[in-house]
Amino acid sequence: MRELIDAFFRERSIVNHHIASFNDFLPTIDNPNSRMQRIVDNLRSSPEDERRGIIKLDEDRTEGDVIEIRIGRKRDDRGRIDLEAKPTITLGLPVVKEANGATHPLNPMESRLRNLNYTAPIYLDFTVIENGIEREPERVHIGNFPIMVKSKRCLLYKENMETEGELTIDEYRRKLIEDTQEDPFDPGGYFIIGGTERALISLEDLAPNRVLVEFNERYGRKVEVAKVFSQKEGYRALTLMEKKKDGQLIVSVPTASGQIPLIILMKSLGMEKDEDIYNAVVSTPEMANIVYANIEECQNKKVYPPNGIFTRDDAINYLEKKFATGQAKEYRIKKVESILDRSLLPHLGDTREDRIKKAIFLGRVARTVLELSLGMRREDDKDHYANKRLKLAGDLMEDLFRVAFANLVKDLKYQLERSYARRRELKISSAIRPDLLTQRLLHALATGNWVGGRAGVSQLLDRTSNMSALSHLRRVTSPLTRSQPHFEARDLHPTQWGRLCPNETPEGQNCGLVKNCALVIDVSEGFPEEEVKLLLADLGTKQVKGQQTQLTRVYVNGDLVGLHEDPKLLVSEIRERRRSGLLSHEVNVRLDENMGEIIINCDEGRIRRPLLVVKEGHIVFSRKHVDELKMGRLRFSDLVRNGVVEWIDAEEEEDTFIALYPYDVPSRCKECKHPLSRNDVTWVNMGSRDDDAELECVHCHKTFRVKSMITKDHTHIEVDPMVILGVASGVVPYPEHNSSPRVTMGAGMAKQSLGLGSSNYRLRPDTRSHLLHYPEQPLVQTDSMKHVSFNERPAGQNFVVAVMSYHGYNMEDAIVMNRASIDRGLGRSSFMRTYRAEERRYPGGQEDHFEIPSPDVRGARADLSYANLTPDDGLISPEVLVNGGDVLIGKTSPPRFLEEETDFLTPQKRRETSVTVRHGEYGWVDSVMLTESENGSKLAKVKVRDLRVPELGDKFASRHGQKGVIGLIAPQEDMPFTAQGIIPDLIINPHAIPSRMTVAHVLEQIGGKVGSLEGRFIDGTPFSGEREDSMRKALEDNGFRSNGKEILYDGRTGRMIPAEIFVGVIYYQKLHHMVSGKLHVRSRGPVQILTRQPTEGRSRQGGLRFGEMERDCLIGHGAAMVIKDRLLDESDGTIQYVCGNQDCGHFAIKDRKGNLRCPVCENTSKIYPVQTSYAFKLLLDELLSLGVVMRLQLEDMR
Amino acid sequence: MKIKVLSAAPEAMRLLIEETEPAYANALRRVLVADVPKMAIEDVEFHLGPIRAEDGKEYESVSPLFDEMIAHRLGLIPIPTDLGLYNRREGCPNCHGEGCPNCTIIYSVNKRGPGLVTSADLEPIGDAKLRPADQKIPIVKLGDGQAMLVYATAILGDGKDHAKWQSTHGVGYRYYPILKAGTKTLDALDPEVPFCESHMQSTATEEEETLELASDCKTCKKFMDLYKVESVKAGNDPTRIVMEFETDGSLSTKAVLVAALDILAKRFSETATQASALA
Repeated sequence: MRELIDAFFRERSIVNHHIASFNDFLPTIDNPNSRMQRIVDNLRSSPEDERRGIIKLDEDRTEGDVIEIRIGRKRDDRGRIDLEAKPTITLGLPVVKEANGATHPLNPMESRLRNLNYTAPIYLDFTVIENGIEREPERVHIGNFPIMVKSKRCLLYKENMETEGELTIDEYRRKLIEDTQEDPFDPGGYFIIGGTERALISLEDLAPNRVLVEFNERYGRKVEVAKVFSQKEGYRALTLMEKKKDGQLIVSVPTASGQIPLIILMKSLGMEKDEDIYNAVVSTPEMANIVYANIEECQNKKVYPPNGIFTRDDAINYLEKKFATGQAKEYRIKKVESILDRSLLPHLGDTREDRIKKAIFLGRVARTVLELSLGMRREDDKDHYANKRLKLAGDLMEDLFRVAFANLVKDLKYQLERSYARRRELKISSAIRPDLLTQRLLHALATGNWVGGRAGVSQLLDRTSNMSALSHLRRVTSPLTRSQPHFEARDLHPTQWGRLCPNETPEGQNCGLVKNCALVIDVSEGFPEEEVKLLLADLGTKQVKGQQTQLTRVYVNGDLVGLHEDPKLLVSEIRERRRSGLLSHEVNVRLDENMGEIIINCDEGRIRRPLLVVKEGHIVFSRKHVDELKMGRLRFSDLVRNGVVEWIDAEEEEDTFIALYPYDVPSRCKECKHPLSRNDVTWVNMGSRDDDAELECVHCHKTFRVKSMITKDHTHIEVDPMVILGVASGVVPYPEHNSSPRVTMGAGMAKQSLGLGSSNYRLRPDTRSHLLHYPEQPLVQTDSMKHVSFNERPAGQNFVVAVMSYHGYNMEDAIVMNRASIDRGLGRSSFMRTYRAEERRYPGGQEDHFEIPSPDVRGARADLSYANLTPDDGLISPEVLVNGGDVLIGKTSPPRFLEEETDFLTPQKRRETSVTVRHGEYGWVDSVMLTESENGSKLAKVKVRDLRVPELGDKFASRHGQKGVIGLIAPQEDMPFTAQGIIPDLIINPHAIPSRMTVAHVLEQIGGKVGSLEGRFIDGTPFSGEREDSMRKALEDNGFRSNGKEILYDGRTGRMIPAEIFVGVIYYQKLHHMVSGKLHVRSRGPVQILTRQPTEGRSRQGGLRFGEMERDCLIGHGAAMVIKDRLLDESDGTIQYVCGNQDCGHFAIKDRKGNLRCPVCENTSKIYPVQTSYAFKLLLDELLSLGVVMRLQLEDMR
Repeated sequence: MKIKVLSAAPEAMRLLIEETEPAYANALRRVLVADVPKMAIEDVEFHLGPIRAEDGKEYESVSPLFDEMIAHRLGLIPIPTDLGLYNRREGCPNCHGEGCPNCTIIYSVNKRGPGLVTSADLEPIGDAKLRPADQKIPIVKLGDGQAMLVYATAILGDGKDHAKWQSTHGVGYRYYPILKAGTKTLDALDPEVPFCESHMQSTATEEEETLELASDCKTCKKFMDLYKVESVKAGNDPTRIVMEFETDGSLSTKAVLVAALDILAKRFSETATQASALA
């Protein structure tokens, strides 16, 4: 059902999840109850203050005045926010404030060019209430907020563009190009910080506020444990309950060290009566004894002196003693209060009134633990996707903003209190420090160090190709550490079907921990729980105390909300409402008949996948829908609203029975005998009540009937199996014919391939970028390519490939390339590197200058080095050929602050700090950009491009994980040829195929051959591509062998090669690992200052390490002089003078006059030169600094 | 070696070489591919900086493509070559490598955007006959305010150095197929005979191989109906070779073939002289 996927992508972009999540966070006019506003509403300026959204100044510092500043929305007497109230926080459109104070709108391209932050100002309304008198609200700029490109507050957002009337998609794209210089196919969904694009990586986390039970190994014994990750407003607390071997139930609470017996905790929370406790826990009689034993244990006077624990006060006293022994009474009370109200299950509330809720919740946790220990319940599966939630860009920014905003308010409060004086009006705008908020946000985005100590949350967007950027924006990481094995967490879980790509994951240490979204997903944004609860009450859910029941328990977002008599009716009623559009599609419901539970979820972060609804054995989606979709009268969201398609989360999916296909397509058309693929037929009577499916063959347009595979038991049908794959695996044709690891490798390599990364490549100032000169659309296409705009931004070329050996030059995955093909432009690419320099200002009024350094500048080069620079601005001109070390930007800097003192009172010289081309690189200057940075200084960027023609050692790969490096570039006349004069572009080795089982590689070659013969694209879509027999038939029809083999003649001898050789056309990608970026030699070169050993790494012209194993080898050969040569003479060998006094033995020095002298014993006569490694001298010196003397005792050589 | 021209068009040719060996045919093929010289653009000089038009409007000398890409594209444009007229530049008796009308063609491209620059915009300095044969080869698409002012120099070269100097394409040959239906020997390349590339071709050169015909193949079916056989005997005759090739339009097929045979003749005569000198 590809029409449906087309409709989906007409409505949503490929990175919709990030953009939608971020939009939900932003305070915009159509989103008055935004997450940003809610943070402001719920802010507590200090822990003592109960009220939210109000800053109350300390009365001690305000001379007794009661000063309150309301920043959140107004609340009614019961503390509820009036949803009609005006939002207090507003966000402008991105602007830049120049150094001279002027502001103007900022578009993303300008931010990239000028190293600016793409941010918009945040304004907050402050209402000062002075001694009960409310003043007019004051709107103050409180900071700048980073804006996601193409979000609702971005200038590229369709509705933010100044236009007359609605734009069509083409007009919008045109406007993007003309007005903003953007690539119309850029997905957006990233931030621009300091000119660099940063993507936020979605985080996969365990679902909060749910009870998860499992067995833990402890001292070789199985212990039943329940875990609750309670989360509220960014604060996370793990509450743990376990059943000890003696049956005792104990609870661990964060911030409280040690464990608390459950019964005591429940009593301290106000559940005093043993009967209440019993009812709160016990669901079946088998549990009763355990609970009795627990209650009795607490009454034991010996264990809990003096009288055992019976009442709430007893329990609180026990806790006080346990956690704050020997402290003042006041402090003890406070400590216990803090544990009970804040550390324990914070999601249930933090006030005294919420305590009883916590006791009931604990009872439920205890019940689950006991059910597990009695074998009535199975361990929860942590890797089940129903227990996972995604944190998208909006959620991450929410966490960050909450902390940054709290900081700002704290600072504001402090500033106001400090400068408070009576009779002087309170001026917020002069007390607030907007930079505090801005810097905090920017710093986190620029470094990736998020609040809560997580690193790598924001990453530099991978712009190698369009595919890599898209995949990067759809990445999902797990917070599990890479070093530990976590085998289960890495495994592909069945519930990931349709949600995460089964193939697209890195190889190696991150395998299975870093994942990528499947093609068509929706991440829930959250729907108010209260509305669901109201609905449940309407539908007859009863509130009952206690756990003992025959009725079905109803949970909403992990909370028990009541019981219901007829679970099936309730569930079907909810689904019916959702399908008729009365209830949000975000609400998912599952009936767990084994446990007798109804689980309803409406929280955010659930990955959901679309499924077609089946009613009584018939699909609801019909031909009419398809036609209306095509005409644009119906949209995907309408189908969801009308109950044709549903978004199903992993929990609800457990309740479904999903048909993979509505019918099986016969291998050949019953009428015209043409081989049929799944996509070669149209389902004519889709949505009708017939039992058979009527199919129309696309070749002969005749219809025939096949049996429907949908039964009465089915609840849903898959939209299209291809959507289980992600964006990168989606470009692999025929992946179902490959072995799975090869698809993974193919997906990985698609992200390293060069192509047309973006159409504005001439304008973008990326530090590194590549461009393939002649990118081609692949002849063998997949359907998902049109959704990831692969044909508009391709990355590869169609090569004529022969599978044969060629004089041994393609052994071990090497490839042989035709030199004439390369001459004609095959695999050519350009590499571009942007160098930048800024005229920085230093404290003391000095600054850098772009100029040609004069000869008296320290470190100035020869005049010739500056010959290419323009004299007045020190910049190079475009299209100049430059080599490694050549100066691009002439620059001088003021002298360093603490320079070695000069003997005379001469002014210190300026330093030469020109920007030069990297060592080993060369190219033409592509563009020179001169602009002004945010603080008004000159900023220059020079882009150097270099032509990369395929050469020996460059890496190429097909889309099937078949990679190889060029082993030989053969002259065309030496290459084998066919009778028609066709000469392959590439020769791969036949050994590459059988053991790797990349059958799709062979299929694609056949497909590409057919495609080039018939002038059409072949459909290689996963699970529904053109059939193999159809392609073989096409080959035969075009006068080729059906197996794709051909007779080739040797280009050197001219004789026929007595074998049939498989020749086909296949899409090959040039990968960005090229020899010119790797080759490295050194004979002499720089050494490290500290150790005098050669530097390390190609970028520092480093040496090649002669390691331990190499040393072992020479020892084995007895080649002592070679060892000495490598390890001493060619490394850090040095001659040191050593004092010959037996009781001194220190290093001697050479003084100014050239005399040798021991600085320790002042000996000047017995001093001898000694050859040693400098590292050894360094060791002695370092030991000396520790107060350890190492004496060198010299002897005559024997 | 006997060469018979089976069909000849200005840009495609089919030959039958008889009483030969693959080595001879291959020598001819290799010369056709790598040794027949032709003119192609080698040096391109770009005007940098603003370009002022007659109407006073100023254009930028930039385009979406990099200069080296444009130069590469220009190089691949086939340029009509009269082999009798041009010398190699390094061996030019007139100018001794300086560049003269006998070894060099200079073209200019002067085009202002917006619009597509094509091979038709290559303006030869001198004879109008030197315009590229194909006038529709796109070079680059210029945007508004962009312009291109380029001088390009074409010189004589051969395919060994760069594919742009290759005058022939699709040069291939095959041994003459032997085809026997029962006792009857057929001419496989006769259009009357339904010769199936898939099922009647063999890699055998010494003896004929018996091949079963496929009844579900259209051509084989026709063959089976025509000759009432289930299988054929197939082989190859390496002494008779059918060769075909095309040119890129800069030279005619005939000129290429003559030039190639000429080169071969010169080489063989040199070999012969050497051989006789030694003997």
